[in-house]
Amino acid sequence: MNIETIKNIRLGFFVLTGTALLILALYFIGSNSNLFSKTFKLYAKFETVNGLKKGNNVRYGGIDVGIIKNIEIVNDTTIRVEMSVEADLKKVIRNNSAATIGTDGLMGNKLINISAGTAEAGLIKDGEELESLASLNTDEMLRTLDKTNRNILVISANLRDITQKITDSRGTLYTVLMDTTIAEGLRHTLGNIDVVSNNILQISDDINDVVSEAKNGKGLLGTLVKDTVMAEDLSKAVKEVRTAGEQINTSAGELKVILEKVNNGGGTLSTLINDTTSANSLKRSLINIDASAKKLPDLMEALKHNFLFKGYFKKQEKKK
Amino acid sequence: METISRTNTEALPKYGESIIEISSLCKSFGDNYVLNQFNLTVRRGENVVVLGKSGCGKSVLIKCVVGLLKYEEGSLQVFGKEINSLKQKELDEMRARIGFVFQSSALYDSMTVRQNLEFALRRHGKGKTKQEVDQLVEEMLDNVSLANAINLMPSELSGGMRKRIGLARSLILKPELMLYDEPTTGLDPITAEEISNMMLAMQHKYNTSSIIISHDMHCARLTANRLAVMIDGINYAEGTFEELSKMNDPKVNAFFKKQ
Amino acid sequence: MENNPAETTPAKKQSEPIWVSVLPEEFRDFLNEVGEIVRFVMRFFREVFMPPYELKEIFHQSYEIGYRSLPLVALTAFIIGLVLTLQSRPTLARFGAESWLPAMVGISIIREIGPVIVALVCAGKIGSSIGAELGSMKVTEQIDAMEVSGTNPFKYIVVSRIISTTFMIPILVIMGDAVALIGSFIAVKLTSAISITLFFNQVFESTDFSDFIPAFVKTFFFGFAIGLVGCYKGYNSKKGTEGVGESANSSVVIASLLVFIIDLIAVQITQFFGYL
Repeated sequence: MNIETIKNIRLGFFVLTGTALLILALYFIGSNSNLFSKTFKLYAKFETVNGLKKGNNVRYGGIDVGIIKNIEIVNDTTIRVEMSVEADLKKVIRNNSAATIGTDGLMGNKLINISAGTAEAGLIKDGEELESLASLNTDEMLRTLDKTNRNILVISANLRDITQKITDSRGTLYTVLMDTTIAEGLRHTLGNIDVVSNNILQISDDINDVVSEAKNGKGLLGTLVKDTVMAEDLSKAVKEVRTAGEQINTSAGELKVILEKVNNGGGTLSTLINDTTSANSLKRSLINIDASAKKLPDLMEALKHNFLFKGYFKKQEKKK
Repeated sequence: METISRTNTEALPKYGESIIEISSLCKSFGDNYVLNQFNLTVRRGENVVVLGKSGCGKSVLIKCVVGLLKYEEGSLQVFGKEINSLKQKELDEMRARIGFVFQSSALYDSMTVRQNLEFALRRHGKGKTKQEVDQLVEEMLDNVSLANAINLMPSELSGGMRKRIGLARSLILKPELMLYDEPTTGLDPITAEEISNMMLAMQHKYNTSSIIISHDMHCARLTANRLAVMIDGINYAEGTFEELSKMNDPKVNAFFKKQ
Repeated sequence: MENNPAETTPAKKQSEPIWVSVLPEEFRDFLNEVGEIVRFVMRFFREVFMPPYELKEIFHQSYEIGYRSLPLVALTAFIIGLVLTLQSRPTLARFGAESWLPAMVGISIIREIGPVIVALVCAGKIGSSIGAELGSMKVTEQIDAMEVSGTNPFKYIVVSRIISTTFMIPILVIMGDAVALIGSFIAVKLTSAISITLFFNQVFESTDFSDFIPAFVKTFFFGFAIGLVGCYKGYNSKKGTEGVGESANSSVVIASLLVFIIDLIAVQITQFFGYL
């Protein structure tokens, strides 16, 4: 072969290889920036784009699907971003998909994330505008965090004050919480109430017996019926006993309510902190109950000494 | 030798019209005037040898003739045309009628002997078929007896061979006028004589006129119909070899001392 | 029409303007040189568009300049790619960013190292060869011989060479880039398991047109500068063999320097236009 031809063949090979490599490089870089695939346009308006630039990526579900084609200032608070997105994405992006400006990694390039829309919204068309969500700005995030921190600081200071006051003031709550004597007192009172109510039960039985004997005309029934003075005394005594019983009943009811409330905690605690009246009433109830309980033995003694009942009580003692 | 000179001088009228007319030619490099009011006429069929010391501007003269250098003053007419006023195209056409043999042969280093010879045909020999070109190349190489060197590179040739290839190359367009720039310089006397004889043979074969720049008296005596002695940029003396050798001028005699 | 501007002197001696005679001689020489270069460049642009076109010679020179430089360029580029990667690895490893190695080396090669290294190698190889070749052509009157043969030597010798360098250097750079990336891949492969697909994916993922295009465009200027300097120095070579050596030497020095200066200007322009 002619030497000239061989040289030309080599030169042709050389130039074609170089051109092929050039085209290959252009294609690889181009396919990376979406130049050669079919695309369509989407728009989104933002108040700030945080340094987004032409050529930055557009992502859908974390996949690079396009690039930023253009960024223009529409007016003082609106910046319109034009995106060029792969045509395939027409089947995926919906009218209510939203665009957010994000960052690739911690320090990386800015990019636009398109979030998935909901199925009921229609598919987006070429040249339409996406909703935009205010971007997650790290600066703003830090500012909010700062505010939250300050609030927490205030709250914790308040809490410290409250606990301090509770300890310092030795108020009812503290007493309720810390004093063991009240609890014992309560227990004691309940024990007394129990004894008293047993006694009352017995007395009323006794009265019942007396009354039935009187009905039957045994013993002193005649006298009883004739002597009005005695009858008045008797009815007065019976009334007094009933009143005392009622009083005890009321006190016990009140006590029960209070104890229930104490047991249930919650609202009662706060009431106890702020309101001293209930504490007072508690105290009063306890006093009343105590007084009633002390009166009862006296009353019983009086009944025993009444001549009308003397015989009955003697009989009772004999039975025992 | 003398007979040739005398015959030529006596037969002066047989030469044709003048093809080169140089009058009052001036050429300077900086402040150095190498040609200062130089006059010379060359007629068709005539061999003129220009003698001069090295570096006195002899080469400048023939470079002006082919338009390689521009002269500043005076007139230089070749084939009746003023060289300085020619357009590039006209100049190229005129150059096709002139053969130039360079002092250093000036063979193109990157080309073979064949390509060297073909080079001038690229422009001036358009329309020739490959066969015609090949034939022409072979003919020229035969003229200088170097037909077997056709595919050699210039670096593979000896100095004498280079001169002969240079001669063959300048003859390929069959020029009417040959310009030789020191054709025998740097060659041994035997080769120099070969070259001189070859120059004469070519002149007879293709009926050319020539200007031969030289300081080789042997070559001058062999080839010259007429001699011109250039001293300080002027045509100091002119005549046949014999006339000049008999001249009583010390400056002219200096050239003939060796004889 | 000028045939040999370097040797053409004005028809009449003009007295120097006062401001010229005040200048130091070195500076005057420098200005003269600059003027000659400007005229040389203008002549190139004038002749490059005017017929006849020396296509055959352009192809021949393209072969000599492009194809024949390929082994040297490829070897240099391969070693540079390999060494650059091996040298960059420890630094990146210190930051735990070894996975960035292909991207980083890729960008360095495509943007800067590839074009500049290839251009420098070519400035050495091609610049010197053009300078020496034209210098010897000038000294042995081959340029004159061409002119006498009816061939415009400027077009035949200078234009064809400058065109060849202008278009061959970019191709050599592209090939050099490719070979350097292969060298880099081998270096990465030596230390970590990576497939060639992943390597080139990482390289091209981090490469943008703004990396590639300016780097590619400037190689044309590298090529033009190398060809121009070689041709200018050779074409205006001084007489004698010493002149040839000087032409070759100064071609290499000036061409290498120009490569860096063009590179600097290219960087500034690229930044000015905001990466296109």
